[in-house]
Amino acid sequence: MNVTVGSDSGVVKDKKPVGIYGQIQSSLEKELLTMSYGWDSNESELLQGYKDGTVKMWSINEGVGQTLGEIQLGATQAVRAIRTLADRRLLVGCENGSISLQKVTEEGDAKQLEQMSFSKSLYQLKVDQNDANRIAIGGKNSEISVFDIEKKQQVWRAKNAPNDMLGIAPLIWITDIELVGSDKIVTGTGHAEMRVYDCRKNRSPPAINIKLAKHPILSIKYSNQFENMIIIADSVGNVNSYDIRNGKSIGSYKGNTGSVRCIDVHPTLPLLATVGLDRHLRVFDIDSRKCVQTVYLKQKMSSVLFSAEEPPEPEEEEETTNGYAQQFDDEEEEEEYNDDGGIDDEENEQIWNQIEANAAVAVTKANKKIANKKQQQQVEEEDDEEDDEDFDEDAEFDDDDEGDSDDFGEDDSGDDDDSEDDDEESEEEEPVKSKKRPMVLLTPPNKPNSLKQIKTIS
Amino acid sequence: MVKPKQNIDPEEAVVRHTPHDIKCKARRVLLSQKLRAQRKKAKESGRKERQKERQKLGEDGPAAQQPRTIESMRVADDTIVDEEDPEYQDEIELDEFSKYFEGKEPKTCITTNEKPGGKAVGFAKLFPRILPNAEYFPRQHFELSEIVKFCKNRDYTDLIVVNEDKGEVNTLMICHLPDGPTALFKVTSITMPDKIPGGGEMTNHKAELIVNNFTTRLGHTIGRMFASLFPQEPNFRGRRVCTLHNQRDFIFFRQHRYMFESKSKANLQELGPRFTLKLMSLQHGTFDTKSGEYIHLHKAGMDVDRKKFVL
Repeated sequence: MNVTVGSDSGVVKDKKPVGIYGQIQSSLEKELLTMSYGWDSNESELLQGYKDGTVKMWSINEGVGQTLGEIQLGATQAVRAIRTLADRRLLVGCENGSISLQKVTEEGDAKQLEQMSFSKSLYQLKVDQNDANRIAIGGKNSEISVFDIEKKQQVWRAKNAPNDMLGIAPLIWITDIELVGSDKIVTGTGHAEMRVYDCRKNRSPPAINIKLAKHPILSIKYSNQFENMIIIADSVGNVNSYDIRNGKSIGSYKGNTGSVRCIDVHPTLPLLATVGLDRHLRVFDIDSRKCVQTVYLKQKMSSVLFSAEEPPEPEEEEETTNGYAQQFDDEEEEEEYNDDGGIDDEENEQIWNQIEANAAVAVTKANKKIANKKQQQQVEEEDDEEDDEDFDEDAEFDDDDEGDSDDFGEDDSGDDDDSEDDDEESEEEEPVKSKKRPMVLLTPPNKPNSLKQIKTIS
Repeated sequence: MVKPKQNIDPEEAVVRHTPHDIKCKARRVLLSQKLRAQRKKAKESGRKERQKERQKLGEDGPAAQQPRTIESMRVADDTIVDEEDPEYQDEIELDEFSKYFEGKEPKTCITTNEKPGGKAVGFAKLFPRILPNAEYFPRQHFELSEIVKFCKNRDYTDLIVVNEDKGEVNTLMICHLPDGPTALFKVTSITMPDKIPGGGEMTNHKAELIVNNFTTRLGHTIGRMFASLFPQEPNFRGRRVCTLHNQRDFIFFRQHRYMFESKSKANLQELGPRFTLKLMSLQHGTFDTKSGEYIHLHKAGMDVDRKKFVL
């Protein structure tokens, strides 16, 4: 699984450098502002937008990147947003408000189809997932509005929040937009406010307008897996999650010491990646808010993209459900496990014993392994190995893995069995709720009183 | 789902007798005294044994044990810079301080907060004597953002602002221009030159600079920031040296005149002020507290771990 990180000096790194692309350029003139995956579903195309108005296209294969082409939009137009549309078209939004619709061939030649300008300032542009003709844009002194690109018409516009007690209208500086569902728009502003709009009513003031902190919000992200939760990152390193319905703070993701310029959530797994000026990539588990991994990336980072691939674990997952069945030697039980909730007490007991065994062993090994993990991290491990570290979901199945590797020789972890399994076990301590599991929720229980309790059942 | 009870094997249950487990104070004190005496005895006998072995075996004997200090137990930092790293070298060539290292001379503007007291002005006026090409300007009524603009227009490379509170100098802000980072330091333990016992007078010679012990990436950025204030070509005949020594995230500034007694030994006479700096924040870009991004911001949570340092 890859996380692509773009540094503000133009170097692109895939997490655990699977690949480093690009050359270091002066970030003063040519700062990387935005990144996006291309049209290929394998995410082998990458687009970067720079402060000096260039859009670079990369083709990435197995860790080797090649520039396909460049689009020059003019030196004064800092590229703020790149959105891919169907049919190899590209929307490029620049800071001065101009939006350019380009058609890009596979070789990287771009032709400008249209140029539009709906506002004087554009800091963020988002395309509606359901209707590719609708875009939401906002900027400095440019209130958030939704436009239809085809008809070149304004579909919806927000009304500013009410004047403060001195009668002064609040300043508008929209730094990031997130379209939630079909009716809500959440924006973060440069004055540290979070605003939620209902976009069914035209010219409506924000339903929720909350001042969160003192520093500009740089990135907000919504995850489809967690309804009503939005994650907001600001320029001091605070990454917090809020409830969209009432604006209340849910929790914070601690770890970043510098400005967090970009965050991204994984499309299917509950993971959050944050990247910023403190030169680290941090991956958090959205639920437990624990930092699952930290990577030092030597350059100041500007943007991050989560690849949609999932780690190979899911295949093993199916094997391990069989593994449970194997252990209990009963096909009926296997079927029941695959149900959503039909487990009766006896099997229950067995499952709990299993988990306790896992947890007991894990807790003893965990401390050693966590230390080892951090050292191993940077050096030799492949991406797959790292993926295993990240994904707590499979923690419950750990011991089964060890049993399984005998039965099902298809383990991806065949190379480095021990270290991987141990790494997985160390994740035992972090409970994870997964919504995709066919099995019943299996979070590790409270730590057992005695560490010497039960040996692993294999 | 009800969690089943765990059956603990009486043989395997762990029983401990530490002073912490004993509720009765009298007994607890006895136990802890006993343990302490045991530990002391073990330490002494260990030391004596090692001494004997060293006498016997000479060089082959056990090496002297190293004391554990906070510096030696420092939490491993993954941002510690490898100077040979080509990526680091590439970045250095293009960062905000590269102009200085390519030859552009520093030009510093020094000022204070509005309506400064005597101490702030006195401290601020020392800087033009330490730094080359530096000038003190009274603050008057200008806002810092305006001052930054003025400095940029007149080709200054650095802006230093001394701030005081309740009569005492408390912070120092160094803003590198034209778009360099802005560092805010807390200043403590100031000793003025005339109060240094045996101290000497500063002269006009261009001072050498020693920047010590900045290991992490952030430390290197700060170190380069300091370096870009001082002259590129010091006057070695003047034998005047400024030292910025980092230890446990505190940066100590000292200024000395040195004289070589022999090839390996130099005598020092302390000149100039002594002060200690602690980095509070490093902000990307010039001074802009409202919309500036922070590269590093010191938060209370960072002080909890006494063995973790950022510079």
